[in-house]
Amino acid sequence: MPLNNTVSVILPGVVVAVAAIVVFLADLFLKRKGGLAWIAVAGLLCGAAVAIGQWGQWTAGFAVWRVFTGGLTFGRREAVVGFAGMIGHDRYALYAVVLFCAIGVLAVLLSDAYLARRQAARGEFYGLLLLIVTGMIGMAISTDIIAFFVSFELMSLPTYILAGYIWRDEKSTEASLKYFVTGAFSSAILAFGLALLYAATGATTYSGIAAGLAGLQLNGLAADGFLVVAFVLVVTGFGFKVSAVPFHSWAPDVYEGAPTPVTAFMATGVKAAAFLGFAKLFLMAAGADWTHWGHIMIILAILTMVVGNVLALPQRNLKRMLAYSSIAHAGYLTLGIIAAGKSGDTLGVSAILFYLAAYALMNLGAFGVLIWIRARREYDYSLEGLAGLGRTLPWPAILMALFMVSLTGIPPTVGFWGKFYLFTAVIQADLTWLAIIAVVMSAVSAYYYLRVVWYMYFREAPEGAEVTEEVESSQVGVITAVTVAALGVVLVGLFPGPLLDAAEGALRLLIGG
Amino acid sequence: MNALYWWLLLSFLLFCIGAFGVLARRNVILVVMSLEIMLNAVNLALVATANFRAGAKGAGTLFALFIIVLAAAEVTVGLAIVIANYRNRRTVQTDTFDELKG
Repeated sequence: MPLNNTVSVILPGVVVAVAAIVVFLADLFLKRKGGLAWIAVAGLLCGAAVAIGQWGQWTAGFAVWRVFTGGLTFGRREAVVGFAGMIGHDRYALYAVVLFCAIGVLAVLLSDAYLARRQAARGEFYGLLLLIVTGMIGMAISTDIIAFFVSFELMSLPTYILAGYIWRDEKSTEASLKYFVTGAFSSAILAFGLALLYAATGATTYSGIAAGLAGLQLNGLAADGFLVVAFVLVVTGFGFKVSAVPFHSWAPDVYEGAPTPVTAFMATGVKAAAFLGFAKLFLMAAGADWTHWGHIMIILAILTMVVGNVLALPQRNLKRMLAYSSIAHAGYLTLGIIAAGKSGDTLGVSAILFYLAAYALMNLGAFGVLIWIRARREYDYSLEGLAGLGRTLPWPAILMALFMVSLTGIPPTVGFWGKFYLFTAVIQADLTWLAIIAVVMSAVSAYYYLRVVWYMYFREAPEGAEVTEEVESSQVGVITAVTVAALGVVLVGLFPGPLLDAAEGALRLLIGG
Repeated sequence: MNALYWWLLLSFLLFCIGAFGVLARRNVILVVMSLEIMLNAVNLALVATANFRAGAKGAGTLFALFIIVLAAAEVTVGLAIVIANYRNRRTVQTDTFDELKG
């Protein structure tokens, strides 16, 4: 493997990591901190540009087909490998890089005015944000459990810090502590699960684990109970990170207490990386062992969809409501991994890729509107505080209504197509009953999403809810981010073709390629 | 292979002790210590596998080294968060953290 090729495998991650260091250094020397946001945005855009440039060079990795043993395997396991098989770069990873960088850019735009208003230092914030994105990219390109776990921690540790970033605020530090304790606990559980997988198969690369598991199956299932324990531990680590029920209890508290831009980033970016990283781990390393982890995942998905949606119903705080909604969406997304694992088809994974992009747009938009409203007047993120918003702040209100409609999954928004492809994949995997549960639960979700719209347009504004603060020029970032998200929701909703092609192209096996 | 099972059993016991500590302790410092015990149980499992299992090579030792570094980073971040909380409310007992609920 020539050196330049090995470097190019990790190039997008290196670009973002270097940008993080540049931000940290520039923070020391720059007098005007406003420029830091632009350095961070430029770094993320460069990372995305590198990934887009590499798209043509790499064939689609990660293609799946059924082999004669009846199990699953992945063809073209490592399209381009580097670092002794620890990193495998393919279009799946490139799609992930572009998605993560886009989420990062929107999060930076949402943060700038917020941090200025809370009088928090901006240099460390953007540096840590870029390090999280580096960890997220690492999760998507890892093909080895060591690299996977290191990336997982690189993503997690700065997130704990960002959750408590407003350190004078008691709520923020409490959120940070709760996130740290549950997050570190789940990391340890995940690490033990990975160690047991290593003990069972004697390999740390995904392909080595897959071969080892196949060997165990051929030798009868002496290690069956052992593997079940290993997979239960790994699924638990996954469940904590994506806030799946019954490992969700941290999510509402942390989402409520953390600074709103950080909440937006955690709910979209960190969750997307956890899904893409774990999907690769489960399907590449343990695709053939579907029976060991599939049934646990199905129970997890049903619980997550039902409990997430039902507990979202009584919430009066919008940040908490969006936290439960993000739990519910984690349930839908888990269905994609289940469908891919059961059918051995790429459709489930493409649907996850598409859904994550759609989900990031609408969720970042919804949190962005909250930041926007909070910048214009006193607002405690309560549902009642939104009353009469359609009259007092018409633009944020109409965009919020758009994001709520999209989160419900009503056409012609992007949320509808996301759910449509995901549930189609589930039905094609012969899990129609699971798709029915998911559709019923999305119908339930309409109640709490559309209630927000009801409050904004059909409730009179209480006394003193008038706009108190003038628009500052620094709100430009928030307004830009929300507008971009809204345009994405509408345009991809009307023309889902290009994004869907990208999501499918990330997985399609190119013949002879 | 037989020796490996005993080592894995030992590491699993250590892991359970750590997990019990995380769930049962009310002082955050002790919770962080219990987390370290859990990660060291993982290290024990990895090193034992690398030593006793045929064909496992040195990857387990490498993984253990990485986990030692990550554990150090995790403690650093964790203690910083604990200090930030202590400044705000003068206690690190977990059952007093009830600002966020609903």
